[in-house]
Amino acid sequence: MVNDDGSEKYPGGYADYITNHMRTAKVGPLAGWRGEQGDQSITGNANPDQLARYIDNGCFWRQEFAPSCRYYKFANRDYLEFAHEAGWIGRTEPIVMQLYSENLQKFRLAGLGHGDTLPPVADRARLQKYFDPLPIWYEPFSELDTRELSSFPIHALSQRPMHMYHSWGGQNAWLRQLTSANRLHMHFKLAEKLGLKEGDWAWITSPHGKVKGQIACVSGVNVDTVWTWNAIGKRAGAWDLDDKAPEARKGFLLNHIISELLPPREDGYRYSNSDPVTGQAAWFDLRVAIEKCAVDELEETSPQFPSMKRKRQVPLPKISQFGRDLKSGEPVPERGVHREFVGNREQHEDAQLGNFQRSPKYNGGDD
Amino acid sequence: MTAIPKSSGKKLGLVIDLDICVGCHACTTSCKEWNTGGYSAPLTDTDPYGENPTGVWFNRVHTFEVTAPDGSSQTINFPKSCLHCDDAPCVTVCPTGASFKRAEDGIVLVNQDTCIGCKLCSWACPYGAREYDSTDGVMKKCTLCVDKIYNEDLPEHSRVPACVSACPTGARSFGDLGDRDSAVSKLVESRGGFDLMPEQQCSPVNKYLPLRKKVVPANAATTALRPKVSGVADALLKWIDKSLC
Repeated sequence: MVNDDGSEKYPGGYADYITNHMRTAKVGPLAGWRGEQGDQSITGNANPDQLARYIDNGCFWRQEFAPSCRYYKFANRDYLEFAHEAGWIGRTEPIVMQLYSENLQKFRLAGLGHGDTLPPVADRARLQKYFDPLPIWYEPFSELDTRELSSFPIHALSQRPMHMYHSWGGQNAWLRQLTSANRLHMHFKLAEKLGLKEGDWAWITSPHGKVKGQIACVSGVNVDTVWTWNAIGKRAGAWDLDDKAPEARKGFLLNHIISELLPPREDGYRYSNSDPVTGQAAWFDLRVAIEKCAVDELEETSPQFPSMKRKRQVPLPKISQFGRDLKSGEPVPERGVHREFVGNREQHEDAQLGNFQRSPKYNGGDD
Repeated sequence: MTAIPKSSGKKLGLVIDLDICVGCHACTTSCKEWNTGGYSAPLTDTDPYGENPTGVWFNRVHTFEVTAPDGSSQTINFPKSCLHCDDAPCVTVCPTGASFKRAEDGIVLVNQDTCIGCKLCSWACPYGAREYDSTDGVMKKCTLCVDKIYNEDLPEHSRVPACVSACPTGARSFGDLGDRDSAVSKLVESRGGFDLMPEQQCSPVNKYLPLRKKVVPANAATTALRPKVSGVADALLKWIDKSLC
């Protein structure tokens, strides 16, 4: 972001940005300790000491809703007024979920030739078909070509490991020990049909390309569907990992075989391989064929790319002893006393704005 | 070698509900974070960014499938840490007294100043719950967060092991299993809690709660997706169904 004269708007980088940016008057990325004096919450001008207050409080700020705001929020006057004042919603009117979407119908009518602003003729059929004002299911685009259906009979899905939900990076030395390589999970029956067993290497092929991965046999999956962990496979050198890291040698991504574009239509135009209304990428539409690798093939994932250039000049540590400096048992003044933030949801009550109720849900560990 | 002291009757431990655990590893990473700065610090990692990353963890989750004779299968997420046994073979085998059980609450600990790293305790433990730190040359293990559960710097409700604080599903409970009237003892009683590998005769304090039996109605396949309404609502649903087709 730049100022009108072209100068950098937040020369202090991200810390500067999250402290000082306001998307609208008095509304910024962080809700706690706003205002010049840091005495306002949710709305208020930027506070130059805001990050320091977050650090003081273990990165957490909290305020609970008044009891009258806690139910039926879509039609709760107190909540809607509060949320409007906070800048979360534009109006205080009740938010009614509509089965029939007038917005979608407007697109469809445009596709039918109504109105002053009309879409290109070539796109109108698509608008008519997919911008339905009522919820619809439509056949995945990649399955419209029946020849491909028979050549690629297996659905392939990916999901992110639960332990990586708050840290996606492969540079996390602990999470790497939990999952540093992924396998393609398939039902025992499918594995038997394909002549595969646990640990075999196989080519996973889609109309767009092929990727090599290792098989894991399970029974808790549909026999015509395979799945793998997403975001484990990485290019060699990525995240500053060693070139021999399992993430680069054994981990694989289905991304390589998912096309960003659909096959060309008659005039050569290629639509995005995504939902026409939301733009959501069609990851789960992937269909594949699976074939056991030949015995003389390298037991390593493919495709491989040249190792990424390292930014760090110092060698990677061979041993990590995070926490050794805490060993003495003596209080370390700059670290303050022991505090726990995970699962410690009520610790900061006294420091906050007050007027919120104790939640009966969190009364401690052994109840 | 090292004697088990006479118990005071208090037996602090965990109750782990296998029916609720989803295998997310929140407990294992939280454990690692607390304990790498705690009593046994650090929980060393070797080759952390290389080809074979390994390290010391006091709590691990093993995930596996079991298949019943009828062909149905279940995924089981099995969190495993020291069970703080009443008859702890890891203690009696210790040649230096470094491995010991506390009389006042039953917690099994290792004194790292007197541990010689002989690993006899890890061979004696049938659960594989001990963790050898090859960098420090000593044995380490779950301390039941002894430096957290009695820590008066923390608010009272935080004085539970880190794994219990972190569990997002409430699959882990902490308390006095020596007290028949405690919440954890009642939980074990009501859910049929069991000992891991009782044939090893270690009398583990930690208990596990079993998976609930799957109940599949005989006519599930034919009734599951049918709306149970009639009259106007029925007509509305039929209209929605038609619109969706």
